[in-house]
Amino acid sequence: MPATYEKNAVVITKAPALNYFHNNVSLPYDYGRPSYEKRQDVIAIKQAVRKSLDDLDKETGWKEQFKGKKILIKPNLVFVTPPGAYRYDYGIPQTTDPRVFDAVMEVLDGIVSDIIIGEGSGMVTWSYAHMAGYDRIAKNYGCKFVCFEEMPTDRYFCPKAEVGQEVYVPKIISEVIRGERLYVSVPKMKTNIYTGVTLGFKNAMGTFSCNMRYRNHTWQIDKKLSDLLYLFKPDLTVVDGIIGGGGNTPGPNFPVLVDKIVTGTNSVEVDRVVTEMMGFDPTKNKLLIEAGKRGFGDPDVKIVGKKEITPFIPAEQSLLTPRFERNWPGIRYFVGHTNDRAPKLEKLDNDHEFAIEMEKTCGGGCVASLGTTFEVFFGSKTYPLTKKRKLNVIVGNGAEFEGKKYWLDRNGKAYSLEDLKALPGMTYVCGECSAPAKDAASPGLWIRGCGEVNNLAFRLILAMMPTLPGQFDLNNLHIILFGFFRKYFIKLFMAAKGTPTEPNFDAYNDGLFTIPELAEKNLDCDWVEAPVPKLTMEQRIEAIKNVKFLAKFLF
Amino acid sequence: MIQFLQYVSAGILWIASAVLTIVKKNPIGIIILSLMHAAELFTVGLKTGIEYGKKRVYSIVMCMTFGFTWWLPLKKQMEAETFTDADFVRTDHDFTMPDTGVQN
Repeated sequence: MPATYEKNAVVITKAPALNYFHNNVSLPYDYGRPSYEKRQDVIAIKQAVRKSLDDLDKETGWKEQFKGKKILIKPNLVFVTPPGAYRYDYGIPQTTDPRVFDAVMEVLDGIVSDIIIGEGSGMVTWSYAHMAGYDRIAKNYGCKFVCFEEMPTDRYFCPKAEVGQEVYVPKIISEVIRGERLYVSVPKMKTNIYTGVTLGFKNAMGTFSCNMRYRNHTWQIDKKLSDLLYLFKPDLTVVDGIIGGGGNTPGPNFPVLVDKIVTGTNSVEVDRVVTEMMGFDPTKNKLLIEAGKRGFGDPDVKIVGKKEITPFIPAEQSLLTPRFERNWPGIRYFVGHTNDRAPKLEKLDNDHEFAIEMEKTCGGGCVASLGTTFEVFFGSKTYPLTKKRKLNVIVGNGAEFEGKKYWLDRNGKAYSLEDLKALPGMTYVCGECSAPAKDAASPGLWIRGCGEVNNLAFRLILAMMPTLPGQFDLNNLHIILFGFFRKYFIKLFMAAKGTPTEPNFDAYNDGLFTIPELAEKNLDCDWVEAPVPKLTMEQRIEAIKNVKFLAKFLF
Repeated sequence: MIQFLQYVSAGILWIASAVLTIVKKNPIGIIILSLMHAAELFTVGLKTGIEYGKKRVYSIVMCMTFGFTWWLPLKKQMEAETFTDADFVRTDHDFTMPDTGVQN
């Protein structure tokens, strides 16, 4: 059974103001030895985590719920970038600080019977775990570290879900869903370009395989992630707010000295409190609105500790901001959509605000992925070489006016396909829906798929040469490459065995993936198991062909 | 990556020395490499490896094979990650905030 709390609480615990930048992304060489345990930062973090969890126990009795149970604990590993990989002199604060994670493990180790650490970063989890030292944490506590994207998947139907009715999750998550294993989420306190913030329950995005991530990775992303709460939710959330990250995460973000650990038993409420602490209004965050609408919050939650606000630089889900224009003066950006969310084009000369309205039509997809990628280039050491690079970027299927399609520039001026084709320089056309503009694309620069960020980023690298993404830190490139090969061969092997690790790639539109009609008794269930039969020989061959080294439309 | 390339270079040196030994019947390369790596092992390599947390046998094999390309990065990392209490005092210089250019 999942943990059931009579009352929920969120506990905010302050850590002393120290310099926490040493080893904030990677554990030091002496991790696990007396010299590590004597470090001021380690002592302070361990005390803060323990105090927070003890205070939470006094309010909710979570330790009793966890006693002798099996748990799955999930950090948030994005890119692991130590100081010097980007132009910045700090380790990028976008991955859960391994010192915080270790402190949580130390508390849980004395309570639970079995721990599995699991994560799916969407790229090369094994490499990032190795670089950050999570494999050493697992070894230290005698437990396993599993990479979700390398595991066989189980399928579930969620009849109440609005967007994510059919979900594939790694097998280990099934143990959480069935209540055989409790789930602990240990996210980083940070902003996110797709969802505003990424905290306790959004951390579950990492349980999706790549192809599952790309499904509805569009304007529907907030609904999709909230729907996942029907399937499973954290039984305990510990937010690493020692050094937070602001800006266009998952691009390289900017440190925020928060010095806080926030723990709680209801992840939606934890996220609500932390969002407020980051200086944002939780009632305006779409992800939290969607989770609240589905009834996953708890209005009676008790908040222990002071909700001090430390302002974070917000994520900008737009290429029409003054900052983008300043950072990339050579990029000409055109956006146009025809759908029921887009504003109607009634004239060809509009203004900047109208262009922004048009762009917002599909916030969680290509625009956010482009914003992330440009942020990566901005932080890269090669930025001075690429700052003035000229490139035309087109997004969307075009806004209709008098039977013709148009795309708006940053000033709201409309351009027809002929106008776009006549633009000087290279043109990059992004997203499955942008097919009507594909004739304007330079060779190889029409990017298919909705939100397939690896493909989008790789081709943007080609278009923005000589850029070099900072997260492929040269010192660690061999580890990252090894991770890619490892993942690729494991997936091939699994497909050959008839147990694929991915559903089919189907992010060719933002349509819903509906489920077959269910028996009446199942209609009111949060989830229904929908086992996938073992693959036939033909399906195995197809699955092997579909295993890609990096992305669906690359290799 | 840099370390990986250094390992590759060390490997090429070994292969070249082996070829010299077999084809020209001249073991000078192998002898020089072995003596140099053995000297490094006894003066600094083994000590560094053990201090870093590597096993004795592993340290001997790695130092004899790769010499300073193995132990020097470990030594540098240990130096960079050895802190005193003063290193954890918060100051205004703990990190440099980049020019974020945020205008809202």
